[in-house]
Amino acid sequence: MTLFTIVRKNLTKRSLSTSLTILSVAVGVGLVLAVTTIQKQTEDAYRQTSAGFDLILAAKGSAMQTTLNTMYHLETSTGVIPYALYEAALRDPRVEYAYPLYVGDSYRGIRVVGTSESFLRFGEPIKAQSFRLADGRAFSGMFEVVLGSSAANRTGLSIGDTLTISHGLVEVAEGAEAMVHDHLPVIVVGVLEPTGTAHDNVIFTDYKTTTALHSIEFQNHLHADELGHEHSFDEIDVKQLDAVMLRMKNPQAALQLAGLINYPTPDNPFMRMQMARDPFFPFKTVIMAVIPAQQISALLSIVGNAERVLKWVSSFVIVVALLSVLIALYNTMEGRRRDLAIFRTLGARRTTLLWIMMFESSAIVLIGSALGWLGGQLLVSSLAPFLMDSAGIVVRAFQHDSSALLVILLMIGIGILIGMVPGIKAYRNDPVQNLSPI
Amino acid sequence: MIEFKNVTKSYLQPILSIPELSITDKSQIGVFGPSGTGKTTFLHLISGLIQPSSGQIQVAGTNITVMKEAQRDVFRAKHIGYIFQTFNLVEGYSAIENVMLGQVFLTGKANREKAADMLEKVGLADRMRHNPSELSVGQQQRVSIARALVNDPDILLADEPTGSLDAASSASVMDLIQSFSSGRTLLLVSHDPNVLDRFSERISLEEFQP
Repeated sequence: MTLFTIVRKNLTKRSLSTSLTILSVAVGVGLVLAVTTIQKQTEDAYRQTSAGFDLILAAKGSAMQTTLNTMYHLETSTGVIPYALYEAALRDPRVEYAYPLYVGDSYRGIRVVGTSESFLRFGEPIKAQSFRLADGRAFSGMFEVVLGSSAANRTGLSIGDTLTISHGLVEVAEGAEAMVHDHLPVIVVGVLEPTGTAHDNVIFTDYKTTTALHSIEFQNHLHADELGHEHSFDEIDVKQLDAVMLRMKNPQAALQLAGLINYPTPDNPFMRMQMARDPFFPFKTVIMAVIPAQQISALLSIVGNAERVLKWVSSFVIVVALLSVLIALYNTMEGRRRDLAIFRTLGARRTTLLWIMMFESSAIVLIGSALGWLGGQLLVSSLAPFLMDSAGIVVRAFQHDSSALLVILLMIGIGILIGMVPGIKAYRNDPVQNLSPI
Repeated sequence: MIEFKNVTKSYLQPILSIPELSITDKSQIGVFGPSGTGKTTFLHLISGLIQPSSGQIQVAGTNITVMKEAQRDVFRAKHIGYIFQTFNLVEGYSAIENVMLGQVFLTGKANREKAADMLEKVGLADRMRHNPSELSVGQQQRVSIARALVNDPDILLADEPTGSLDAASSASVMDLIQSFSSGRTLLLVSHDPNVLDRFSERISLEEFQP
């Protein structure tokens, strides 16, 4: 037996009160840590994803909708743009990479994103990090798909499996009739490593495959084809896309190009003539240019307000929990006067009693914080699929987080301070006055 | 040796006034006096739980009246064994844990074997894991005696140790206390003439009324 045994026995003697107090601390800490973890990872995910691309060209409409649609695979596109725009981007010397985007199908609610093979080779889902194949290869021929890591996990599909994808982006309810491209099954040729972004939860294919799935001309060609020969990309006549994502050689060029596309054409004939020389000028009337980093900053400032409110509410829960520790311990003091007096007759110093009380409150806060951390992480785990589906972000629990450690250390510090209040009462307890049975 | 020199103790009014009193080492003394004559206060003064209003008290060659409170606490844990009328066992702690409490506050760590040995000596080898509420009053007082003796104190202070016991238990507890007090100084407060008859040396606190 040591002083810590005495602390443990004192806590277990009032097991119900101790358990409830620990629970209240755990709820407070769990909420704060869950909110903090989700907030931090959401912000990181949004910022990192937006860092990989400088400009998005899409049909005129909501810039935010386009950003969410192209970068996070949420919402629908603002419309279609001419395929010639993509060709112009590929030729433009200011553009380092141009990636087409054509979306319209899904498989069990998972979006099938039509893009180019170069997107998987050079595209950066997060800053300075390309896609990596966990298995197989990138798509190169017709009707081939590559699965994002979460998509592979959710569908259970692997290399060589075939699937028939449905028209539309929404999962069809059980029993309802889906418009399925069942005459054109696609084959899985690759699975990507996790990137921690919304790209993990999509199925990538060539934009020409997407076009083929929606092209009536191509479908007619298939029906007329009695010999059943191999089909190639050359047979596909792509006319439109949803968006083109650009990575510029010079980030400044993104701002200039956005200005050219988004701002009204000046009346000055000389300036007008200068602008007309730009290969993107002819598309000015039908497209908009979106700088994703600006949209994400705007989004985060809106979401940040809600998160701040959540954080305040969680902090309030923690304060209430800490008060409950104080009240629970303080309320026991009346019943413990005699025990403390007995300890004194056995040679316990006043400071020993003070330490016992502080250890008790610290133990409650420490156990509550540890349980809160665990509960918070479990909450994050359980919310992760919802966040992926609704916000297109990957949130992971049980990650190293220095802010969580800081919260727990802060809680223990406050726990020690709280223990001082009943501790001082114990310190002042008069052994002679309190030796008689209560 | 326990020595009182010009000691007075007052609360709202004077309770004790002991101009001079010497108790030699290893003496066995019965302390008596009517209610309100300061018998418990007398023991608390020796244990250092309270300080005299004036005067000096030497215990085991140490002037405890000049010691700081924390020093007196350590001194008490080391030199004094206390037995109470109401046993003062801590509920929620088993018999052996109550005995070990006496060790923890002296050394910071308990010696379970020694505590078990003490309980065996007072006849409670089969009651070590019982809570105080699961023991008879006589057994509770035995636990209290084991706790008082576990640190091998020089001085045993007993405040009405048989006050809550029936005659049979009282005799048995007194036998136990006296058998363990040989080689130590024992100061035992009692109202009971049968108990006081066991002591050839007695102090009447009526003599020290202000």
